[in-house]
Amino acid sequence: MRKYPFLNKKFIENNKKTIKFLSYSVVISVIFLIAFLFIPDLMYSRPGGGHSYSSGSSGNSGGGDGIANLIIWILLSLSPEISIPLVILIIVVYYYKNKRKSGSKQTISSSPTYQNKSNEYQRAENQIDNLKNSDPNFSKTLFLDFVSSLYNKYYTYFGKSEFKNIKPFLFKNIWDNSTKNINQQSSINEIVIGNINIISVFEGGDYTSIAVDIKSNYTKSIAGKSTRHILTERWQFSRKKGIFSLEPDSMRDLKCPNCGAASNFTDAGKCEYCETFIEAGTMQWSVNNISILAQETFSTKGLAHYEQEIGTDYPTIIQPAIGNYIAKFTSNHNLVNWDTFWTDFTDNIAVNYFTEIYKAWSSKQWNNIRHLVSDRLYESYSFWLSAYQKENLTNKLDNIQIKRIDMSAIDVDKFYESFTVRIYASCMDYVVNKEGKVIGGSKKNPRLFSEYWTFIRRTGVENKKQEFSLHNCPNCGAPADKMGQAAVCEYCNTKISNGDFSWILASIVQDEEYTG
Amino acid sequence: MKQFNEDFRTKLYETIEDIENNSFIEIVVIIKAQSDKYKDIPLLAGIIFSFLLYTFFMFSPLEFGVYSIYAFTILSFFAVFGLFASVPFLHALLIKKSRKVKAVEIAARATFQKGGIRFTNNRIGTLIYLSEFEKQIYILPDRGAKTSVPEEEWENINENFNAVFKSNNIADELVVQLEKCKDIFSKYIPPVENDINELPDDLDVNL
Repeated sequence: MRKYPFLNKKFIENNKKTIKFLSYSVVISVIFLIAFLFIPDLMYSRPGGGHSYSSGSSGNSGGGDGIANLIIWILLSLSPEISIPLVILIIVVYYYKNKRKSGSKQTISSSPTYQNKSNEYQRAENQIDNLKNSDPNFSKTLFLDFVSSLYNKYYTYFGKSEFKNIKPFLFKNIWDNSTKNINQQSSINEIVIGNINIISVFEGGDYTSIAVDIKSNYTKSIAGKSTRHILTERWQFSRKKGIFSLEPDSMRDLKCPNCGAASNFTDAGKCEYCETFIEAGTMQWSVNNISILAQETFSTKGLAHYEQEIGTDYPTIIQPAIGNYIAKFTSNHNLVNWDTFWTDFTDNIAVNYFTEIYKAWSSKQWNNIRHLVSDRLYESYSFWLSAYQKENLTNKLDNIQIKRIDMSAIDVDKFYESFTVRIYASCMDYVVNKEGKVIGGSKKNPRLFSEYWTFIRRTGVENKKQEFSLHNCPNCGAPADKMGQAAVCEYCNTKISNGDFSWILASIVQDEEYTG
Repeated sequence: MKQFNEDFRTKLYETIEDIENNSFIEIVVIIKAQSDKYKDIPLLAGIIFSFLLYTFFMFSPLEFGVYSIYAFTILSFFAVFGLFASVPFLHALLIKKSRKVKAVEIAARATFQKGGIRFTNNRIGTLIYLSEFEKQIYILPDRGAKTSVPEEEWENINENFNAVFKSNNIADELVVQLEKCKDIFSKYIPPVENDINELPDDLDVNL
């Protein structure tokens, strides 16, 4: 016979059924109360998430609906003797698992906060302004082109006889490190540069130095076996104080800083054309330090994997002296009203470029926008598109809606002008396989995101009619259907992607990665 | 972890930046809520308690219903398991100090490895790892930093850092101790020309 220790025996006998009913009701209520505390979190967990082109990986959380349904099914289908302990077990395990998850996130590191980043940005901007004062030819856009060009050549020539052609651009320590212990069986190719960011400008001894972070990926082949690597490197470029930057043609490609001929040097660093010995850092920026900050093996497995979007709610990083640059730009172009120009720019350039570029990405017709983007951006995104194609996947971006555009930074120098804007938008971001089945992201729930887009244009280029035409060559006005991979218009045989004729999109940086 | 707020993190970054501007050393500070889950502790507590309760049910002079025995034995396990798993104070009671010290060391060494702190050219990366639950700080200098600073100084640094838990505000005290290290590192690992930070700001340190 069953006995309840804390109640009167007679009372129990008379109210057996009621007590049993009440006991189960209390336990079930407690379970529902606990479940209620967990379920809202589960029900509204976002199926979409962020998607980073630089890392190619994201993630997806969810699955809460399944647990809630399972609990209800167990309670309704099984007898209380089995269902109640089972439900308790499920809730405890779920609670414990979640606690572990949140516990693992409880890590604080000495990484910079928004305030630190903002201070560093301001410092770097001041340092660049000082550099521009001492070197009026300095152009951030051209310097980044030079970095990109040298980085590409460094790895392309690494371990090969052509490596000598970049000797004048490498200090002795870098040259020595790069030429000793070379594995003859290894080679590096398919170099794709993502982002290049100036970290700091500083002076030491007789030299002025610039530290840059370079995000890239390349294929390394060893004995015929290839591995794709994703890297973040920090390169330091130094140059003797008092030197002026070279003209645009000598900054875009590697050329002899003395005679301007294509870089062709002896092992000793003598130009084959003008026979001048070029010592590193005396006439052009040269590499003084290389440090690999992060390196991982690239895998296409994470392409359909989505993470929760982060950074959208971060405040917009605005250039500290943006007012001065607006004034300078307004004066340079004799603008009557800055607001009118800004509205014109957002409506005709930012919105149209954004829409066209994402349309081309989604439809995999990347060549359609070749004339609108820089070489680096084109190559970088081509790499990711081919990675999707290799896996028979398509990243669809439906119903793109621009919500807001904020001004972030303006740069005006002797050769180039650049505008960085933050674009807030939403779209259905999802990945489908070759059968058209959604295997990542969401076709139903829009994802809100923001990105920093930097547009560049050659200084002095005025608002020509063609510049707002998305489908014509900004130089000759012919249809922009024959641009090829190099963005050279076949009708006028002119390279378009340098920004010499109209605005070119130079970079896209995710909000959580943008530091100014 | 509430003490380690945004203001603290901003100050922490500035303090490290100041040290690195005056020394060749590269410092990374990692603060963890706890270094090990100690999963066995609540499990063991739950098993022991439910076993004791079950023994009581079986051998007590009082009579109990079978459903009560079944339900209360299971419930007692989960109740005690949950209690020990979610109340750090109870959890901590059953863990030996030596185990906590070991857990912190293992986690610090794993963080050092995974974060790639060993990838500086001159091996001058130094990890300062704080684990709040265990109340332990483990300082792990790479070979270059370790051999450049006399052992006695490292011992003093360790001692001073582990005293931060005696303070009411661990976060502030941690920054104070870091500031005190500035002169030591500047003296033994002086700055070099053209030094750039070789460690990324966003180290992957989640184990």
